[in-house]
Amino acid sequence: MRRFPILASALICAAPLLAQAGLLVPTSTGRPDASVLAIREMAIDIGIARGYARVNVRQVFENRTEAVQEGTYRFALPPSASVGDFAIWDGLQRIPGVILEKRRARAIYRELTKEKKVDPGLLQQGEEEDQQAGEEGGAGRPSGGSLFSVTVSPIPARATKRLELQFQEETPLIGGVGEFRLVLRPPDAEAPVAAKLTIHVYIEDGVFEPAASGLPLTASADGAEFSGEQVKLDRDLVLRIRPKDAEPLKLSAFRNPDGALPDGLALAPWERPSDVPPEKDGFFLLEATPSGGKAAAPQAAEPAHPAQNLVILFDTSLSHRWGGLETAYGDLVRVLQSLKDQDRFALIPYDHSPASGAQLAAPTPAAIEAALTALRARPLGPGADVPQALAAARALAGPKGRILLLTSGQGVAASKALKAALAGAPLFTVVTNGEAGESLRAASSQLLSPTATEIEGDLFFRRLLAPADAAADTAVAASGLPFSVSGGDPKLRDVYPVLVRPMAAGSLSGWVGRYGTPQPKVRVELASPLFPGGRQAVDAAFPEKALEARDLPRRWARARVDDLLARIERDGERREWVDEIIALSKRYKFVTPYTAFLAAPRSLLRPRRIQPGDPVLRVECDAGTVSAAALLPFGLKLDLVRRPQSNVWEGRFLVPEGLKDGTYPVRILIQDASGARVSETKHFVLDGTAPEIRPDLPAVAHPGELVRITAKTDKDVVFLSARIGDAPPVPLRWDPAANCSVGLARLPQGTAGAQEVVFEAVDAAKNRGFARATLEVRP
Amino acid sequence: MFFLQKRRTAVVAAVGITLLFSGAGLYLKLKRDVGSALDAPRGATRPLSFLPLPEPASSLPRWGGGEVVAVALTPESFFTAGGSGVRDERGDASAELPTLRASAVASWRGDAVAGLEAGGLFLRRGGHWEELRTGFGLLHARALLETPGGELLIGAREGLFRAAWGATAMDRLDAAPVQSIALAPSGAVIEGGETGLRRLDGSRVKALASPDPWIQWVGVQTGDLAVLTPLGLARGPLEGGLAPVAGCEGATSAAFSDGHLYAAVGGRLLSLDVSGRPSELFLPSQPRRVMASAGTLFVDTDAGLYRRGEGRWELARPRPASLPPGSSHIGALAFLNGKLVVGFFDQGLAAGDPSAPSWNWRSVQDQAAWGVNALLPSGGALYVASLRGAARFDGEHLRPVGGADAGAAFAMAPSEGGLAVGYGQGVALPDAHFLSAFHGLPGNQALALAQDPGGLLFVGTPTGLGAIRGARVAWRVTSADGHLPNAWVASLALFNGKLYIGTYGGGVTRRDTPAADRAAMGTYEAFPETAGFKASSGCLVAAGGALYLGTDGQGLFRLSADGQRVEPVKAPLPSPHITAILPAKDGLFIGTDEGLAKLPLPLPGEGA
Repeated sequence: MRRFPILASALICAAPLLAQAGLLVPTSTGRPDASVLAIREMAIDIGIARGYARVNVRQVFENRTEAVQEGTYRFALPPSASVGDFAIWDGLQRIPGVILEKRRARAIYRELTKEKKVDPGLLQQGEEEDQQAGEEGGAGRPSGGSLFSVTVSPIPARATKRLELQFQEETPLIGGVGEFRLVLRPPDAEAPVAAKLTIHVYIEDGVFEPAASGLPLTASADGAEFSGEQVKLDRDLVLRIRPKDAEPLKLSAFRNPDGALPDGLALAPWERPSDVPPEKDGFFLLEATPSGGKAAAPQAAEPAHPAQNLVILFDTSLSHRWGGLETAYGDLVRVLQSLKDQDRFALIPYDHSPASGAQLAAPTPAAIEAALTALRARPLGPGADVPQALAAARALAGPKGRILLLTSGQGVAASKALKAALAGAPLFTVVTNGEAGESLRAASSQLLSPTATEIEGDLFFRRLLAPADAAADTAVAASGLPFSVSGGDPKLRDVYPVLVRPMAAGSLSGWVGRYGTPQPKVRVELASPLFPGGRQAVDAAFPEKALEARDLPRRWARARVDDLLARIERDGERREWVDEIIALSKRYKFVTPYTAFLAAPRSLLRPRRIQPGDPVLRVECDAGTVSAAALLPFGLKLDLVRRPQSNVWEGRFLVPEGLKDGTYPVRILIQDASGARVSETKHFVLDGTAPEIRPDLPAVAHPGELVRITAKTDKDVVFLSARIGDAPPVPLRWDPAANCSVGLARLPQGTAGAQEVVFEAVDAAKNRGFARATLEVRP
Repeated sequence: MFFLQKRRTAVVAAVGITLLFSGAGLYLKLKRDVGSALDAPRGATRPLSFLPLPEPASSLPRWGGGEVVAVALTPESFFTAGGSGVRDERGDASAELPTLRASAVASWRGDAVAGLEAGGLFLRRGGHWEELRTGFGLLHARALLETPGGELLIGAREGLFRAAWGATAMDRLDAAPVQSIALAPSGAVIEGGETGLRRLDGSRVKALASPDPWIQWVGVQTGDLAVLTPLGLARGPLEGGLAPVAGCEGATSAAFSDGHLYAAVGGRLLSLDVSGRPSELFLPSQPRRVMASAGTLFVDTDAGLYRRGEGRWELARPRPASLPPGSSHIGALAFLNGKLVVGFFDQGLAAGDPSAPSWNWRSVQDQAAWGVNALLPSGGALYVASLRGAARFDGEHLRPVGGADAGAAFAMAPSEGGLAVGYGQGVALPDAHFLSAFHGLPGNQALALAQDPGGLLFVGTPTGLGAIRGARVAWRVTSADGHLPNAWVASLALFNGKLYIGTYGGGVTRRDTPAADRAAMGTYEAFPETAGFKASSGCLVAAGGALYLGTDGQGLFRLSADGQRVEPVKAPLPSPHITAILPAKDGLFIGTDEGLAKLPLPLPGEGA
């Protein structure tokens, strides 16, 4: 009998979770495969205005086989993004998703599937099963860095399937440059080819600047565009935006007293009239882009900073593994290398308790190396007591010290406990796995999520060591607002900060809110040391009617929902808050942890997943399933058993000896309590061939140097790493420009002579391949 | 001149390319022709020979599954086939056969012919078995049927075959996989398998419509055709038009006998008359499977095999001592409070009394252990490593240990200060620390663990061997080092002060260290006679002063007394796929993928 490693290991690719265009992955192969499902057409429309991007992705996938296919549509979104629409086409019929309360959507879904009259699809963020919002991990941000996954079936033989996805997200503007990035290149698979790709970018208040690393966009009259055929999606869509005008303070508004958009209004290509809520109240956005004022000069120069006591907490709990651990380690090295002689640092690993004995030390190479070595030698342990670790760090850092928390984001206590442990000390948090919870957001002065853009990361690490006054926020006026309005009372309410917080020189910050009484002319004034003279004013109007800034209602609703979620985290769930979140979600049309899309009458999602190539066959069934069996192609009828507290059914089997590698069908028979039976054909891939690795190393390297390690391997490899000597492994990622996988590893000081570099590749079927090479290290 | 020279070069190149393509085309055609000649067509004839099997060197008590899947009545005897092998009235008649579990049995010209689930076809003549060897390779027979003309029809995973009595050749009638065969009154063969229902008239194969393409059973009585599919029982005229039989959607087996169609449905036996009207028949014990042979109806129950005769049920054969109902694929074995605890590869735990003739099995009704990989008695309890993680079994209840998110567990070992558990993501140490590849282990999936008295905890992974001292990785050996014949370390054992390493695909190697430095990486010495062996997980076990090795497919082995070689242990085990070895006071319990056996120690033929 042939055996395969049984455990389906966790996602081991450490690719950043940026906004990602969807990709339909055929179930039969388990990975993107153009010979099965190819992208026939892809159109991306992006509108960027006021630091906000609205993205429409339309894709047509083509089934190139003679068999009916099933695919999983996957897309990932950053924390600031909201899914506004998702639709699937069945021939000429567009089946849009309808937002419902999550529990109700589930109940309808079950009812419909039980009656078998229709086969609806349920799209919800994160885990597809019954974790309730409000439970641990449930009450995340509306679309906070979640991975969406929807099964699309059936895709008839030789037919096409059209999918539409719309979302909005903040586009950060930092240091005078804005950045928008849409991931097109799959992080762990061969780049697909789009037979036809068109991209239109409309930039309302900025000028497009090409980015070297992205698709070769060209400037157009109103933004940028791209059009091509047979385009290999091995590069992302990256936009740099230079603001058109440098107005330090600007007010935009939307008010539609008629409750409906007038005929003849020119809508952008991605807009639908039904998207604009029939809202008679006014919405506004105050944008602030300070030039820097007195604080600008030191920031523009060499990034010198006053002496800092920095205590770094490194999560060594069991939840901090794989890519997250590597990312955290990389961030740690980055911070340590940016410390100056006058600084003092301490590194405290923690799991269920913090490591004892840490002391503040000067950041000498020896001290840094010793700290890193001790960290690498520490095994991962169960549990993560963040408050205890924060209290230990606070005691060591002193009243003026700073604390950097590198965490997986799992198992974090409530914000009250975190704040109590901090006792007023500023906390800078880097979350490396999954979502950043509300409690961490509430307790942190600055938080870097795993989905942050490059410019956001740069700002975070700059602020970590920057003087406290450079990161000063605006003063709060007597009205309770961060700005003051004179010349009329627009009756502002529900004002929330958006974009960069707190303000930074050359960066776009903002406040979004509602106004009740239009005012033709008012003066808005904002106080901040980042403005020349410490104050900036603008004459503007809260108009009776303004229809241009149509993104504002949804943007405000999103900020309001974020605020309600933060309250729920702080004070516990209240019915009125949940009801308001659900109402806002439906009215302004975006998904929250309490709502879900239900697309009826056709199938979008069948929550039945099979892990291919694994002798433990797992099928996720409806909750009402009473029995499940798998009919395997070699004549085995495998009765599946339900995993406790789940809807996953599983069976263990051995692949008969002599069965060749390839794709095999498996029929799943499911029976519900009423006796109704469903039979579905899935596929699993049998792959028993270990991947081959062809390493390529530089001839000579030097101690302390960052070594570029490259290798080529099989196309189905999902994870490739290299380890120099006893150092921790570093991941190698595909670099289309170099036509190979590339990783960077720092050679420890004191290394000399021939060093063995061991490469390991893991393919989609969990086969492992190894290679070794020698690196000559000379002092 | 230059122009002419250039033209000549072009012509030569063109001719060369043409020749190259022609050659390639010829080669491909030749390859295809040879391939198709070697690949047996649907109707093909290949040689058939009968090879007597040697007598077994010894007999062993063996326990497989108790179920019966087929019955054959011969003039001399009455044979059953099932999880406990081929049996006649004297008991186990399959000691000579290479594996235990039988999938089919039939009478052929008065002799029994049987098929094994692991493959192979055997004829019992004069009280001895002969293997039917054919040019079609190893056949996995699921159905056997003798035609009125005395020919044997063989329905197998590899297709439908026919052998004439005394012939030296076998015909393949159809290449599609077959699970069941029936004969129509016209002589046509009705066959069904994974890919549909077919009718074979002479050499002509015709597909028949059925409610589901997966045919588990097919039966014909006069003009009536019935099939059993995963969707239930369907019935109709032979000419076509099968319709589901109401109330038989959950049928698991069926048979025609004396004008009635019988079906086992949800623990009940139903009889359906010609009009389809059902009535329930009551047996002394719950029916599990219904079958017919030579017109006689048999029903397999928990109490044994019953025969319908004279309007009443009579016990034709009691159920043999066997494993509890369900799987007989053993994953691990251990003793707890005098009971033998069996952990199943694809189920949970069961405990039996070795002193009771029928074992008195009791299945542990707890879902905390499923897909058992290892068992370890410790502190009056039994620790279980399964695909659902690690758990503690006190003889009554299972209690998960190691956290809900720990994932699948594969190995355990008593370690300094407690229990070390090998998970798919690394090793959990007794002090609640967790070590993985990040900390220097050669891989994350810990398949084998062994604690050295000197303080090292050895860890076997699919990618090499590691050693932990305290909470640190002391050293590791990977495929790149050349010390291991295969990096996939499946089992580890300390024997006479040395570490023996069983690899999956590379056999066994031995680690030795200087006496002054027992914690060193050491030197490695392979046993070349085990090259290519697939050592099974947890199957390097010291017992009775010897070290035993269980393999996946090659059987059981033992380290010679001088420790210089590994030699086979010849014993009629249920299967050569050894999955567990457990020393007992008077022998070794051997677990396999087809059941359990007990090997006496010292081995038969050896002195005490």
